[in-house]
Order: sequence, then C-alpha cells, then structure tokens
Amino acid sequence: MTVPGFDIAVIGGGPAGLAAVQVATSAGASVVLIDDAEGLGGHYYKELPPSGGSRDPKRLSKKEREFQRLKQLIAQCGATTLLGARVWGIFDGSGATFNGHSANPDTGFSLYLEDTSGGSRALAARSLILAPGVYDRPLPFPGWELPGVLTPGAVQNQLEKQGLLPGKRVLVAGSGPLQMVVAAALLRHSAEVVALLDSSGALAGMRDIPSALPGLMSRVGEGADSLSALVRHRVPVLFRHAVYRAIGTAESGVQAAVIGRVDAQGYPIPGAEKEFQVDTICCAYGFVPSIAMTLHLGLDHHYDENLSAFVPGFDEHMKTSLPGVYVAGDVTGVGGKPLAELQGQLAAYSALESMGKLTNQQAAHYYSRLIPSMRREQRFARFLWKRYRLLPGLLELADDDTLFCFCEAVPVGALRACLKDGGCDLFGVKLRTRLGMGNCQGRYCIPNAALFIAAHGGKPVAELDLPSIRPPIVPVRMKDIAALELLPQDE
Amino acid sequence: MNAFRLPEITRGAPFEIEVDGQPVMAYEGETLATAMQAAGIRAFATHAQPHPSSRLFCGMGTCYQCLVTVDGQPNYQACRTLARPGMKVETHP
Repeated sequence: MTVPGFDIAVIGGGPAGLAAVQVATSAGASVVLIDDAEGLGGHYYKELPPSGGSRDPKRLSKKEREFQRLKQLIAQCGATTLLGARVWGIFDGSGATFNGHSANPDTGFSLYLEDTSGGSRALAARSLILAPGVYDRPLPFPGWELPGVLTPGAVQNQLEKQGLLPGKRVLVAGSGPLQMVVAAALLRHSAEVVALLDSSGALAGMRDIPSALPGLMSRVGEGADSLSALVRHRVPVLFRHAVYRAIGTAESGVQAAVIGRVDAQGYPIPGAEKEFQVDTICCAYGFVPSIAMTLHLGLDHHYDENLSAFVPGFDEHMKTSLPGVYVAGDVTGVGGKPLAELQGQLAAYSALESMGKLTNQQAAHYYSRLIPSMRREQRFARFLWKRYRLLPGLLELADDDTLFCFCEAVPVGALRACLKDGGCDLFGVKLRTRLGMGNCQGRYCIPNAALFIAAHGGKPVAELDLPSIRPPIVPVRMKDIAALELLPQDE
Repeated sequence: MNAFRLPEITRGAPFEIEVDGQPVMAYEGETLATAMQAAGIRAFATHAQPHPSSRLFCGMGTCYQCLVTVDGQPNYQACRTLARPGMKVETHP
C-alpha cells in the first residue's frame, strides 16, 4: 500500500526552505514545511516569537520588511507549516532506516517529529528537501564552560528573537564574517564591546579576491556599516588574537577574559597577555553544517577543506546520493542567503521534475537560469571560508583539564591519553572516552575531535569515518514515542 | 547582574514563574532562558550534566547545555521552552 502524505517535505524554514516552498507550491505540489523554531526565517531572518513582543512598525529595517512580505507569501501559498517541530527520525515506507542501506526510497519517506511543547507525530512524503542550515563552531579554551561564554548565534538570537541584551561588557572573539556584525549589533543596543578579536590575519585571502568579486561587491554595504560602528565606538580590532582563557565562577559566570596573540597557524605566541574585565564572551570560529539528518539518511558526505567540516554531496540540481532527497542552503557549504535561495529553488524544480510535475524542458529552462548564479555564489563561499579557514593551532589553547565534550564531560587530557594509547579514529575515541555520546550527540565535539585526531598523529580528517547517527537523532521523551501512532507500512 | 531587556521592544503580557522557589518575572513570548537571564540567573542546572556548570551557550536548541526541570519533568531546553504563567522551574533538583 502507499503511505498517504505530502508530495514534498521541506525541512528547515530559513531562506533555502522558504524559497523551495514557494516554487514547489506554485507548481501544484502538496508541501509540508517543518522547522524546530517557533517562528519562520531560520537564522537569517530573526523573528520575535509570535505570542511575544513587537517592534515599532515604523522602525523596521529593510530586511524586516522583506521578511514580512515573505511570511505573507508563505501563509498564502497553501503549504502546511509545522513550527516548533523537530525531526527525530526518517524511515522508508516499510519502516527501515536508510543508514542500514536496506531501505527503499521508492516507498516514500516516513518522518517522525517531536513538538517543542511535548508530543510526537508522524507524516509521510514522497520526497525531501533538506535545508537544516548550520550552527556556530566554538573551540575549547580554559573557562569556556562558564556561564556568559556564548556563541555569536546565541547573542544574535537573544538580541533579535528575544529582545534581550545578554551582557553589558562583551568581548567578541573567534573568527569569521559574522563577528563584526554581532559586535555592531551589541554596540547598537548600548553594550560596551571591549575588543573584537579575529584569529586570522588582517590581509588573509587578499590574493583570492578576484575569483569572488561579484559576490563580494554585493556585500560591501553590510560590512561597511558594521565597520563604521566599530570605528565610531573606538572598539579595538585585533587580528591574529584569540581568547586564551575565561576567568570566573560557575555561579556568577565569566568575570574576565585573558587574550593573546596567535601565529599564522593559530598557535598561541607566549608573552604579551592582556586581561579584560567582561561579563560576556562571544566566541566561535565559523560554522558547522547541520549534517545529523543527512548522515541519518546515509547520504554520501565529503570533507570540505575550507570549512574544515563534512558536508553532504550533491549535484547541480541539488540531488543527493539518495533518490528523492535534495539538499539546499548553508548545509551544502555555508554560502549565505543568496546561495540558499538559489539552491532552494533548484531543489524544488528538481523534485518537481522527478515527480512529473514539470516537463524536462520546463525544468531545463529554470536550471539554465539558476545554475550560473549558484556557481557565482559558490565561488564567493569558497573564497570566504578559505580566508577564514580554521587554524589548527587554536585547538591547542585548551589545557588537559578543559572539557572537549561538554555533554559527557570528556577533558582534553582524556582525548590525548586515548590517542597516545593507539586510538586513531572517531569511533575508537568515542568508545574509549564517551566523547560525542551525550545529549547534543556530538554536534559540537565531533567536528573538533576530527581535527584534533588528525593533528595528533591519527588519520587525516578526510579519511575519518563519521559516527553513525541513529534515530532518535535528537533527544526525545520515551513517553512521546510510546504514545505515537505509527504510520501504516508497506508489507 | 548583566542581561537586560531592550526597552524599544513592546512586550506581551507580564506574568510570574518560579525558579528554584523564587518568583521571576517573564513576558509572553519569552523563553525560560530569557526570563532567567534577565533575573540574573546564569547558572542553569547541575543535574543532567556531569560537569559543574550548565548555562545558555548556543541559544538555538543545539547544544543541550541549558536543560532545566519544568513542573517536575526533567530535561527541558531553557532556550526553546516558552515561559508560561505559574511554571515551576528547577535548576538544582
């Protein structure tokens, strides 16, 4: 029997997912849009919770007005929208998981969701467009577990989705294009930014600028606005610097940050340390694609040297290694909103073509229009992440007592001992130390552990096997699973 | 004390929740993490994590470092759980 359900399930309500939904519904496909947040927009458009506060409509930014229009389009397009719903498992029509390779995608996909407010539900779809996005990449340093040490994403979410300034004296550190934007946002809301640190060199990436010029030019305005805010407030901007350690207590949180210089490979240069009194440290080194779902589906992945992270494989039509499954947006390589929208559209056209809702000719017309733009944006993304490539020496800022894996409290020393003892891959490290086996399921420690293993005599990162991701891919209450009505299954 | 609510946001209705037996003010649409931080509570939980300090970290529901107990039920993410009037939150059960 055939499982009743939707033509397309779009997972992730950021720019990629929203673009995919619009294209798919315009061709008459039945679409369900799923996002784990309470509001649409992902990490690009940040919306105050619907039941919460509002901003003065006269003071909305261009981006906020754009989002208002976009939300209206989504509300009218006929898609079913499920917010506050998190996918914890995807199976085929007969209930088999895909990473066991016994599943058959021709039978469709059964999705199991957990609602934020409690309760689980199931739905079926013929094809999947996965746009799960990215999350920040913090690196361990002594004191990073103190309250008040936050990721840039947390600071932005607190400011823009909750209207809360997380601290009054803030050090912004790490590396990446977002740091300057976050620092400027903090200044706009009257926080004091004691300094902006970036571990990369001020002139890194200059040689590669010609390849990225079109993408770069369209972004100059945003960067210039942030930079002028930093200059106006006389915030010291220190390249080749990193947070060495945070000082504070578990109860009251961070009270000071000790910073210092790092060399071109990110190794700390002993000597001139400087201490800032702060209540908040905002620090991360770029982003990690959210690949839990794509790993769970058993898709092919490869190591992206510029991102220092694994990404799912895909072709120019956003098809993955599994028929009926498409990817779009930052999960494919952190290219930002313009690339995400192009890929969302491409993925939707591709899915529509596969299910016969578009002719090959119609689809080809759209591909020829979208693919050159996608390539241009991808060139920009490659330039950006090569310029901000994670420096291996930064992993040495942690000492033996620093926790490498928060959830299972695995200190760096345990990881070192395991590697000395002959552990040389992620699987061995995981079995011996429990690294990556806690609540976050390795989302923060595994990408860093891969680099650490490679740097300490283990296998090169690209040769490491990633740990299997089995359902539930996020923590779920057993009572919710027990109460679940299963979808009818094929014989 | 450091986190504070931005004055330019018009907020929803105010109400009270209880954190470790103490009254804490929250507004409609706020997460537990927001209400707690605005009240100066930065250390969230010690029960579910084997290390001494849990707190808001990723702010987007990915890191599971901000788990709290809500009305006797453990393991709610403070950064994703919306505050509701009368909720009893425990960080040190």
